[in-house]
Amino acid sequence: MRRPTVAVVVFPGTNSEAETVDACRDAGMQARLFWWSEDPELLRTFDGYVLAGGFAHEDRVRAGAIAAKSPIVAVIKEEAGKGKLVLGLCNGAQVLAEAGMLGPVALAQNLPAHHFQGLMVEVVVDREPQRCAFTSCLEPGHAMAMALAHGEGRFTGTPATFEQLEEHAQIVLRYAGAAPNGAEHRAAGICNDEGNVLALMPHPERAAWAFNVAFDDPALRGVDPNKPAAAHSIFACMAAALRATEPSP
Amino acid sequence: MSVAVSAQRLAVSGASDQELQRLARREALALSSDELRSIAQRIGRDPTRAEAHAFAIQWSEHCSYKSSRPLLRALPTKSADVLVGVGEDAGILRAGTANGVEYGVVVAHESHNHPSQVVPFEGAATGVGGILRDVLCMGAEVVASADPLRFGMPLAGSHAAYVAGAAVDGIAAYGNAVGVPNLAGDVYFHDSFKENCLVNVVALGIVPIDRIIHSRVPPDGAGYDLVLVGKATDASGFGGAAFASLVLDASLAQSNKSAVQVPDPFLKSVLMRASYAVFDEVRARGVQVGFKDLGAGGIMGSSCELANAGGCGAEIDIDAVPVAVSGLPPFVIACAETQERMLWAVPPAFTPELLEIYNVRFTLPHVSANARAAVIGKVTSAQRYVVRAGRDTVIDVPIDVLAGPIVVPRVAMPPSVAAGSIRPASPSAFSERTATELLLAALSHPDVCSRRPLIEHYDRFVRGATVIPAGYADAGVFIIKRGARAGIALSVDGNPRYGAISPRLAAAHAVVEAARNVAAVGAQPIGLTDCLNYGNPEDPIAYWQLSEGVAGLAEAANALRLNAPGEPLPFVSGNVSLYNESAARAISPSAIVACVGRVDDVGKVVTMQLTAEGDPLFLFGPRTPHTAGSVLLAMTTDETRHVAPGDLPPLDYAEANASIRAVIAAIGAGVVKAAHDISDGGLAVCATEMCLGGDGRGTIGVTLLEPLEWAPSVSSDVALFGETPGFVAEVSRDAVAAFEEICKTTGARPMRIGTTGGSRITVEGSIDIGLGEAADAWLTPLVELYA
Repeated sequence: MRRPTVAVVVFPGTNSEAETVDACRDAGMQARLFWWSEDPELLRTFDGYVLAGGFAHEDRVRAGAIAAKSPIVAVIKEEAGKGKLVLGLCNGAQVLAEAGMLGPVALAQNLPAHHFQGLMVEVVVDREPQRCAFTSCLEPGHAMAMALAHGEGRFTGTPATFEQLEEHAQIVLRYAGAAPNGAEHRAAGICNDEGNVLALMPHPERAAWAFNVAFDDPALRGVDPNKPAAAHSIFACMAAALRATEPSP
Repeated sequence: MSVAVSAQRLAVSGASDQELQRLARREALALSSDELRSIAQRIGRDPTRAEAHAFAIQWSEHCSYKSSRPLLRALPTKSADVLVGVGEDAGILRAGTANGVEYGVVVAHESHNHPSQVVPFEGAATGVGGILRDVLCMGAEVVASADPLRFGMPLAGSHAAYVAGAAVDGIAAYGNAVGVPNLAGDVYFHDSFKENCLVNVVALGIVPIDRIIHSRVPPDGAGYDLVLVGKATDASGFGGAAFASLVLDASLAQSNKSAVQVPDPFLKSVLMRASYAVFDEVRARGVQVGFKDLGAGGIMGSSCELANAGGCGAEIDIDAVPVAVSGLPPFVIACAETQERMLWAVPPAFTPELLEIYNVRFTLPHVSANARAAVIGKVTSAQRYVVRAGRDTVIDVPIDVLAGPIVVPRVAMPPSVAAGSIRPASPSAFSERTATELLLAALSHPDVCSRRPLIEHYDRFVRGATVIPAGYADAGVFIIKRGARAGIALSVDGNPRYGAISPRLAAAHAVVEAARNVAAVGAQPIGLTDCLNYGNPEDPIAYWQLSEGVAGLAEAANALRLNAPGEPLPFVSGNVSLYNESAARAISPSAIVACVGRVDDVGKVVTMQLTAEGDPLFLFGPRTPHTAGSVLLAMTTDETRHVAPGDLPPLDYAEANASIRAVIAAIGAGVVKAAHDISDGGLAVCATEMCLGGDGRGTIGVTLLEPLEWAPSVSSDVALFGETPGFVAEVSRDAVAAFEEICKTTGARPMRIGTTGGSRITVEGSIDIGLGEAADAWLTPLVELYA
């Protein structure tokens, strides 16, 4: 089976790259870290991209704002325009929003907390999973534990924007209950209209294996701790979608 | 050896005490007149200004352990599990094998108490930053932290509440940004910490055991380059070690602020990753190197200890140090405690590669202004420590004198016991409130209630290796490497209510409880680290408290025999923080202990949360009548009254060894499905927390038998709320015989106390509370403080 190539992008301040690479590899992708000091043109040879979590450029100005202006993101934006897959996780999602890759959607400070929140949450697949590459292998209603870890993860925008997102079924992942960060429409993950770019605020890569989530689920006791957990399916969907496309030249 | 210092010297020889005191004040040197004379005598002439500052730092309590060193010899420090013992940046224990590689777990413990009282956000943040470097410098990947915190009562709007809030924000801001998950921690609120909070921090790392790097120049290291890495040096933190060794005076808060360093987790995050790349290169090339954190005394402290530990000397060129501002005096550049810096000793042939990794591949100069890796000196074969600035030699002293240990004899005196000490209230005094009322009050007591509102400020899941996050069990657990099964557990302990009554018993209890906590998830305790937080050692009572605390640690660590060869539980690292007092009061003597445990299979660990209905609950550790230091007593009587140490719960080491071994074995065998140690709030709180679970949303209740049946020798309230150590365990109802067999093997004698099930917490004849009501009482008290 073909093993698609994925660049896991590391900006200064990114802190989740190692687990993101492992999650990609366990899904059958050839993933490697792509450092900020490398030549951005090299990115064009990859089949897909993951912008990992953390605090790129210290989240100066706004979370993700500086990285969004980097030559690396400029190249990724161009490649996304050709249909390549781009997954932004937490800070990576903030970068995508700042880069305008989701349309007029922004990520604002968590409400009502006004501060960083770190907790396990349940995320549920919405009604049209097949419209987004990263959920395309999942059924509507599929629930996944993920680790929420951010201070500015509240998806927000005008009512008209969200009306359109709903109409186009772009909110492919929602918090199971009330959004802990106050996100509009309980949005946890929003894809672009083409479905090849996903901005996901909670971290699937921190809840990707049984050992990550068994503490809250006695049913997983005794299971192989390194078995993929529910959230790993985001990476599995990515791998499946990449396999279904032509490899990058 | 001829003395070649060319800088101006301070007039010490022949000066009177008064003149020397004036000199010390003028030069802002934390040195007594005797110490100034001793310096002149040891180096054979009057010191230069830079030399005097260097000695003031090296001889500070913080660096020299001059008061505590003789006491610390009593602690056990060796076992089959110890790979690197006390004396380097951090200790290392044998962690287990993952994916065919044998790993060590690096363990460090630090305090940042004074800075956190003065500027809580920055003080607490830099405490995290410093300890991460200690772990990193052993060649390790930094993988976890834990934060034992002690604050004054956080009354709304009080300064203590501000400190309690801002210190947590600082820890979160730093740890979250660098991506080191918070694995464990505890917090106590006690009035003795109102003017002097305690912010301790523990950090862990993992390192393949053939890749350990030591805090010393390797053999044949003469001629090595000394390469400073990290932030450009400024004047921040100058005098930090001396500051840590002073009694806090509120009126000096402003001037003390300059002794607090400035944290930069963003730069640290890059430095850590760049250093990991260097570790790979060091390994690939097979070069011998030394690596050390810059902490107290900055460049001076680190370079002189790195070289001296390798039996070498060092020469530093101050003009080669990248600085953030020009015009700093040489002794400030040499001794400032600017954060985010480390020092390598590497063979010159490796230097270009080292500089390339930090400066080009990881672009340090673009990450922070003038941050970089730069060669600042050489390791020499001469046993001298030399610092040059321009044409001046500002320091030139025998290196072993500057780095060497000093000891200051101290006097210990127990406090006189006030005449007519009052015994703790008799059990009948509790009966005005029903047991149900007492349980609800205990659940919302500041030392008992859920830490969730605080913990959720921390990132517990970054790195994707978390198995049990802080708050869900008595210890946190992470997996060493994905794809393998080995894990590490960590817990911290130290009860200030006990410290105020008996420093010795408090310390001993902290050791045993830390070990119990690790066992409660199914991990094998393998080592300890401590932070000794006490008052001014020049005060005989404070020194007595310190000596008693160390004696208690030693007693308990020697008594716990938990590994296969039956060795004591070793201390592998630690920290001593003295002068924790203000004009108003001394802190409750606080030996804070962390225990590291080894997990063979992370698939088998358990949390405190009940897993099924109809399972029997067993109690390990018979109840005793002792209630001193308990939450029960704090809730029902005047806490300030004197109680005798004999009124504290006794330590039964035989019972502890048998119970701990049984719990570990029974969890490993899958017959114990949840376990929790009995501590603050006693058995009733313990059982309730097992129902509620870490997030308070548990749905399985319990019914406990009448206490008379399992604790016939004490009153019902004491049975339910007394804090005599023990465990409560949920045993699989199909495996009771196997459980009893395991207990028989270790000599443990658990008693059946009840059954899981229903949606209430019921004790026959006394308590009856719905889980929802209990959860409300437990979850809400800290919500406002940490909103």
